[in-house]
Amino acid sequence: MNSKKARRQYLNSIHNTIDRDWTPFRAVEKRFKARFPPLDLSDVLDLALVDDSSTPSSPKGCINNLAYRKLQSDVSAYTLVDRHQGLVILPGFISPALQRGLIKWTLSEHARPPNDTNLDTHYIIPEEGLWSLYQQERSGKSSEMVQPRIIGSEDEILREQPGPRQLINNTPASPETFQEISVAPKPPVAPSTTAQPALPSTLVPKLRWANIGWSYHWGSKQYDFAKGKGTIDPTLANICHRAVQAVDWSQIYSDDDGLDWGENGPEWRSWRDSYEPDAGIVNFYQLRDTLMAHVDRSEVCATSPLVSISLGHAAIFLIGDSTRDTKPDAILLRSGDVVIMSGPVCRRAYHGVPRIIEDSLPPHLVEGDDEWKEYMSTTRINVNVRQVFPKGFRFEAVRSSSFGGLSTLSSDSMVEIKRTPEPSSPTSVEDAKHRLVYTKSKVYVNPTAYARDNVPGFIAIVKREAVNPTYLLAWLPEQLVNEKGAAEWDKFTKIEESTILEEEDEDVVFIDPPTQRPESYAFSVPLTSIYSLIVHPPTLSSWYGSVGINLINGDTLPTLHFHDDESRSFTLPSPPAPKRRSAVTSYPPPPSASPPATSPHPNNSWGGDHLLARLRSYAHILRSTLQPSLFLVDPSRADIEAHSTQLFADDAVDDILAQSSFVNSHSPIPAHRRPRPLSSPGIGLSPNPYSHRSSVLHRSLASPTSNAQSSSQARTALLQSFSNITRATRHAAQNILSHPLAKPIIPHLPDPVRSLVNANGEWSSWVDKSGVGEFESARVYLARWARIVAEEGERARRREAQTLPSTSAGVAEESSSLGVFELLHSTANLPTPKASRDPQHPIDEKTWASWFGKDGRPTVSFEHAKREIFRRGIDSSATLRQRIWPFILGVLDWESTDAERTAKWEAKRQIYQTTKDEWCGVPEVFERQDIQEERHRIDVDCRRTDRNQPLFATPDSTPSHDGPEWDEKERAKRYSVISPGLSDIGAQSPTNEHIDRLAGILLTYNFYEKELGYVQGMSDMCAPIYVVMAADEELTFWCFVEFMDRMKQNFLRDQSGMKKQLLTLQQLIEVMDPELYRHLEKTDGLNLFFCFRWVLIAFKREFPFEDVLRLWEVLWTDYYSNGFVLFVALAVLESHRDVILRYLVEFDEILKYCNELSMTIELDSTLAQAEVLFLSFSQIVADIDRRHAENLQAVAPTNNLRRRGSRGGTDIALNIPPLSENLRDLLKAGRE
Amino acid sequence: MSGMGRVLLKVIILGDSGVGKTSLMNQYVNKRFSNQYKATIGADFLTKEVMVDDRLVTMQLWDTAGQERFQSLGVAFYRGADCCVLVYDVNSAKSFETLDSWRDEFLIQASPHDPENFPFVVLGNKIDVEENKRQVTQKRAMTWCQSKGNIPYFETSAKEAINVEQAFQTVAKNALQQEQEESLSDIPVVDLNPPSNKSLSDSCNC
Repeated sequence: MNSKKARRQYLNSIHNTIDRDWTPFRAVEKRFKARFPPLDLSDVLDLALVDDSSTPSSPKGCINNLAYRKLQSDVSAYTLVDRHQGLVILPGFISPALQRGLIKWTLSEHARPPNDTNLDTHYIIPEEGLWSLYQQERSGKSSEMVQPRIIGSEDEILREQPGPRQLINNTPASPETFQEISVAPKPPVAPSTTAQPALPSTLVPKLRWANIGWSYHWGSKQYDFAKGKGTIDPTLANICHRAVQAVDWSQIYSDDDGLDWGENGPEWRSWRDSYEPDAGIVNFYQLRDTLMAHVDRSEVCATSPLVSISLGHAAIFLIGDSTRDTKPDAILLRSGDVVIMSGPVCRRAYHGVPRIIEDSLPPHLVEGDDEWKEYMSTTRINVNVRQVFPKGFRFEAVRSSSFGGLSTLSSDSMVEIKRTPEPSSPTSVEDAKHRLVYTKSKVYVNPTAYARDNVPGFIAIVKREAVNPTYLLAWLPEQLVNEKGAAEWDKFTKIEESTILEEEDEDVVFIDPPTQRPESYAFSVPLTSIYSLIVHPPTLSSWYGSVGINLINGDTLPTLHFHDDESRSFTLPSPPAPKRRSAVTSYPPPPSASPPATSPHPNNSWGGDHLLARLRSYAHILRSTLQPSLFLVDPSRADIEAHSTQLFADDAVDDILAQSSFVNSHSPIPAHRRPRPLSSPGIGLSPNPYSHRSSVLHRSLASPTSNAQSSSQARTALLQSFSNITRATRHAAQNILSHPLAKPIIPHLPDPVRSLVNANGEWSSWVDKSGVGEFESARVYLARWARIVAEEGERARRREAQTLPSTSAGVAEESSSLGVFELLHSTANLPTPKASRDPQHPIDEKTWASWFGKDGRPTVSFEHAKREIFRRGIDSSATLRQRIWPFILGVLDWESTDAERTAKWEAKRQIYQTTKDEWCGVPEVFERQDIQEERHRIDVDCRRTDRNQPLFATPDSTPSHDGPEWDEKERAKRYSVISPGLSDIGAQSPTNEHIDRLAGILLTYNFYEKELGYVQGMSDMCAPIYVVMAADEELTFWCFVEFMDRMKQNFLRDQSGMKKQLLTLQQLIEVMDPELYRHLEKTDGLNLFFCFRWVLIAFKREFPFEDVLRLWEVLWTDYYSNGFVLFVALAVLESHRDVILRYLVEFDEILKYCNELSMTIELDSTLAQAEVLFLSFSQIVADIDRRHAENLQAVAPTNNLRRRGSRGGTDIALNIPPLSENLRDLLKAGRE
Repeated sequence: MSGMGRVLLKVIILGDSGVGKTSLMNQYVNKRFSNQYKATIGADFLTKEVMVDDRLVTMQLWDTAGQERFQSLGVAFYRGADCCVLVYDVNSAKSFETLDSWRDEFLIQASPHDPENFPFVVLGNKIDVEENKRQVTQKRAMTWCQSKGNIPYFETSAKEAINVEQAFQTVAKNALQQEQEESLSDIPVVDLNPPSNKSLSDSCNC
């Protein structure tokens, strides 16, 4: 459908806590479906490996994950021990020759009229069939297009109206429900109105299914018996018979295995004779197709064998039990394998095919030159054949002729069922027994707003007894029960007072079948037809709680109001005394306005709660976290995902406060729960919460206790504090999650937390940014909040550390300058790199002056200067930057005297003027179309770049621009040098002199660097230089030129540079933090678009203006790496990795989160982190190179193999990741 | 209330740089206008919950860079869009004339199932500027919209909050319709892939 939904499926699997939404079945499906990591078959049962006679082609599974049992049979047949009773696998049952024959048959003979295929809905498939057309096309004989179906005027009424697709909840077929199912309308699916005529070769891969026998209606997931029964190919039927008869079923079933075979008893005894396939489906899978977990329950014969034949590519078959909550077993099915699913257990088991395995065709399907060879190179075919009706179940359909036999909706389309008389009396819908399993009185329907119109009645759960019982939710007005007499009334009151569960059979109460009586508001609906319940408990303003019922078909039943004060079950003492049962029941009932009871129910529950509790016994009831009053009944996977965010206890707030070491006098936390100071004695190291993590970052944190004695106290404290931060983060998140929709959280926060977030301004700033009243993805919301709390915790800790006695000064120093990143190192054997930055002591006038000799020639090396600038930055108070930047950017040569530089600069000035003169004052150039467009682009951007800088803020002297008397000419003259004129640029913010000169510089750059053109982002890069250079045009220009030389690749027309940068960053993440990499992979985030802005303009938008200057001069030194910006990006990601891993599971969430990091990132700690990351990276590279070298040595036939083997840590050596050129380039520093 | 989870509508806002895409979006979602918006770099989005035909849906409004050079990145953002909003500045003829290429570019990049009927909405922005500055007449704009299959057209001012609410209500409505049609229109290729058709899975066997 669309990527949104697909992306939602990406809810991650192994590393994140959010996978709680997945059922165990889903988790296994996901695992096999994933393209990464590579498919692992080590726990997939592969029975072909058991037979030593055959040597199966790759891939291979295993034979020891499941206990299997070989059946005594002429053919190879297996069943699993104690699992999926009724499942039989016949590996290689179909001979290679027969496989080839079946493939040909499915394509050329079966998937064609009159058999339905998925394509028939939308295309008119000619009589000879699609495959035949395809062959003609292949041989070049014909290129006939297949025409889309056109909606006929008559048909139109009968087709399903377009609308939101509904989840189909099909009623399980049984003899009891058969009539209901068979007469339900099954309108044909509307053909696509957009389908175009298509070549057969394009349609063939879109073939998905073709019906066998009874026509299957995909819309309702029921058979459409009115369409009549197609024939079953005798060969196919024969195969099925052979398969079923090859099994001695007494080895599978026995008389005392306690299975519920339904009314016909253990029918397996007669399968040899009674088994008769009458329906089926051929499924065509392309390599990426999967089949979700499902149960086949549309057949009246719920237990007879279903025979499934695999052809073509191998597949993984999953089979679980009656719910998706059980982890399924995985079985490898190869071409020629037959699976039989039979009996009450196996036939109702969830199963599915999560993966078709590439390159798994057996040789006999690869060799030769068959017409299907090419098609099968990407295909698996599955022929599965069922028995819809038991033998002896006769069926006649009176078919309508008025709609050409296609219609099933017309009034005269009727179905009549006849059964041959049998000794055991058949049951029908009418005489099915209806057992009252739960009821509650005084449940009202309020037809009007007037209380006098309220109708009292009983809510009831009724079980329709059958092989597969149906549970009904019914409401019956007292009036109706009354009419049926005292006995019926007693039944209701008896059950209401009863605490006996339905399972205990002694007190069974059967009632008349509840009916749908709209005139009296009575209703009776199967639980399976209920979509959701809207539950409103009683409140102060609304005395009675209510339950609304929404059906899957969109209908809403009358809202039920629970008058618990009148209801017997609530007024009786609890538990009710059974002996009073008959005595208390008065008949006829007293008027509904009976006096309210004096004793409310002991606990705070109410009637709706009780009903829900009972319903939970018969259906999965999920309370929505999006809307707490909404309860979904047997929700679909999509709904479960959408509606469940796990709830946590509200006291998590206390935990956050306790853990984040935020303490103040008005804390509501009891003193004993407040955090202790880090330095307090007796604080032990808690178990490391990261021991299971794989990231480079965390590996170093593993078991520091071993050398705790020798390592510094400071280190221990730091580890402790780190675990505190992240724990606090987690609890912060849990707390937010505990509030539905996350939106109303602010008022729920305890005061200290609120003041905490308000105090530092961040809270209000992001609330402001995103619009507090609007929906935000709850995950983004809580991720942000978790970050704020963690940061506040960090700050609090620092404050605390600073107030510690001087003996602990080491702690303060260490934690304040670097945070946890100091602890990062790559592998256990490598030393921990340290950051060298010292931003507290920037280069000042004095230092700068001391670097130069008398003639202006530097006395220190450029290398030294760059290192110092990298470490310390430049003092911003004076005009130092203006003088230093041209050096580090390379505008001025370092190794030169003042005089030499002056001369060279004069030349550069000349070049600038000459270049500018190419357009300035040259109308024929200036007014050229392409230049006009360029001017427009530049102008529009310059007008909105750094307008908060004094130079660019519109000066006060500018006359008001919107005054009617504004002189257009004057304005054009003064401010529109670059602007192509108001008429062309539309309405934009007013410009000023500096904006215009900035635009001039950018335009001149266009003439200097002719290939690039102006690209958005350049104004952002130029403006800070202009400010630092104090509006000096020439200096700005040349500094910008040098800056652009470093950045040019980002702005190439084909975006190749940005792609390369992001790819490099991606590879860097893969090496440095594999866990984060995998997470991004799962979330579709490997394109790293959320880093796009960071990299494109070197974080210009992410930091305040002053910080941008400090960052850029560090980057320009190229001290460690020409690509240091990528390490800065990595550092930012790493600081937020925990939050990202834990909460952000979709690409757009990560994008949102990263965009909103803007102006919240702390520069110096980020740079320190970036430096440590770079040093770690270079260590890793060196380590990899060393291991490569060792491996090469080991390959040579020398005798040092043993020595290598005895070394520790060889696990890494075994799997040395290749290092890309991009990554190697990151080690380059300095420019030519 | 029937079998659907929360609906997320993805809306892409396109148009020349400086026509007011970010402003419109912020006016609609945050009810405020600022002169201080910067050129959008990369992409960002805002979300807003909105009622459409008694249904609560979430609109995700994507704002991208206006320079065509960055459009090759658009694919990642365009995919799965339910509606595309084309914005021009009524005071700039050029920004109007490029609508064609924005539309084409979108259709190429997003490749919706049914390009002919994919919902667009055109907004002529900045109508708060004096009338004599106006470059594109309403008639001209409407003619173009008509020729492109009756694209709904609104004249807006993000600054004065004129017509913004109405325009995006239409966007939401058309997007919802598109989302629903799209759910059906992928039936021609009845795909066994789970994300697209859960409803079909309950019947076939392995």
